[in-house]
Amino acid sequence: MSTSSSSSKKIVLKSADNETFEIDEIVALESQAIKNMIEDECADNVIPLGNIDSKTLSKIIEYCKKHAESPKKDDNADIDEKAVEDLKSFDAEFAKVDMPLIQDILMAANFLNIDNLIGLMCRTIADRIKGKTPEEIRKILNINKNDLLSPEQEAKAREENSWAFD
Amino acid sequence: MQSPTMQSVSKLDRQKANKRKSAPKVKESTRTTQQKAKKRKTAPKVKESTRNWLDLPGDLTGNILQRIGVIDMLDNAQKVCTTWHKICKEPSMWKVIQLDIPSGSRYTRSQLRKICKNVVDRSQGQLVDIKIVDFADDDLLKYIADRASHLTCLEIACCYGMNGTWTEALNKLSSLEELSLHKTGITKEAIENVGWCCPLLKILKVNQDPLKYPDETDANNLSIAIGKNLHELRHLELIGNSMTNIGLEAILDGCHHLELLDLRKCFYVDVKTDLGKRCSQQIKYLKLPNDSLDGCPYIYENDSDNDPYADLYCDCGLTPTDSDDARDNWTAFYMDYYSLL
Repeated sequence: MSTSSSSSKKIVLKSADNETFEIDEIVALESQAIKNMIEDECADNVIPLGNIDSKTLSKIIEYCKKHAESPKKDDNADIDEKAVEDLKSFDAEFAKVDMPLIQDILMAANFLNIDNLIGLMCRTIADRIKGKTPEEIRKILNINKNDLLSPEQEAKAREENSWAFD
Repeated sequence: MQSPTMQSVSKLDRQKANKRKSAPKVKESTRTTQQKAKKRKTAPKVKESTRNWLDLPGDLTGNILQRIGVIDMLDNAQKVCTTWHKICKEPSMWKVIQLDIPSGSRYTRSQLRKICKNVVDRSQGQLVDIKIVDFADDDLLKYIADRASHLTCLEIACCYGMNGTWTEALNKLSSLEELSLHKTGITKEAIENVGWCCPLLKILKVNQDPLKYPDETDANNLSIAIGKNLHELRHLELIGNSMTNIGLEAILDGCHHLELLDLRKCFYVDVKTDLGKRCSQQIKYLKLPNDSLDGCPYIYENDSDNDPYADLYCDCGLTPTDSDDARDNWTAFYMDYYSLL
């Protein structure tokens, strides 16, 4: 997959379930957290990611590879629109996964500090719950029923929404 | 189970160049082995149930909720659970507010004004950026100005009726850096005032539908007021303005830092003159009267011969010359427009 020669520096990531992933350093640099580790020379051997499983990690690497290969916006004011469109459709395809995986990717992206990916996942979730009732949202996100509003809180919220009944 | 590890590491990441970072990493990996042991046994089944949305760090939940929009947050999200209810109460959630009339809205304009006031209250003075489309009035502007002294960006669109409170409101908005008015009235007196009450203002947009028969006596008032008072401007949009070269010269003379000037639909400016040449030398990003309006968020139409409803035609995408069928549709729109008032 990698386009650069074998001489490029490699980074090894290890998932929670002990799978290792060797990737080009340029791909790893998409993660601000890993970038900091590399700059601080804390990333000599294997970087253990104890809270990210291999399924999530491979998705994240897929994302970082694509984004590392694409021309960056600030490189050139008029980068060709095709590249931008290409990246957009990649993102759209990438986000077509089930909610649990989206949450895992979001948590991991947050941990690894990959800004664009955090944004993409938040946007995906927002799109799926927009215009939905509270009950529908709870179902979509599988939100624990132990945390429902008390009748008093419900009443207060309704009072605060009084504009709806004027 | 995951959060303590995540927190400690990400905190350290933020404190870049901290050489001791390797220490918690060791800790982390020992923890990992414990986790592994647990995970191995139960991984496939338990995965779903252990994943709890309420464990999501608050800033991520906030990030998601801010993307669903003000109305959805108030109508739905805040009722989902106590965690989300609390997040929706946090003033920091309401630093940026965008409110327009959604298609098929069940709220009237006056209800939307109340909703807007409610969220301004929720921001508790932290509001920095607000955009209101199609329902602002003088009273609402005053309400915001009284409660948002940190406001840096104010955008109002499709509210031609506003005129009364600008001077008073802008007096209170001394942090303003960007004022964007689209199809929204403002007086020259208010603009004169901006020069000293909003010293940080860098971006000004006063875009409007071009007038077919402008009043020549005050065609340059706005641009002269800008040139005389707003010397710090970097970005100026005056789409559809009726100024002539007199007004343009006042802008070029007064706004030395100007980098962008948008003169689209300023049909009374003649750029095939020495002034036009000076304009293209002085301004880095220049848009000329006949340049395309592509990419504009609002439609700026020429007004038609003294038709008092011209603005409404434009709002529903019609011109007054459209067929009877179109007129009927327009009547329906017209009824709808007023039922929302």
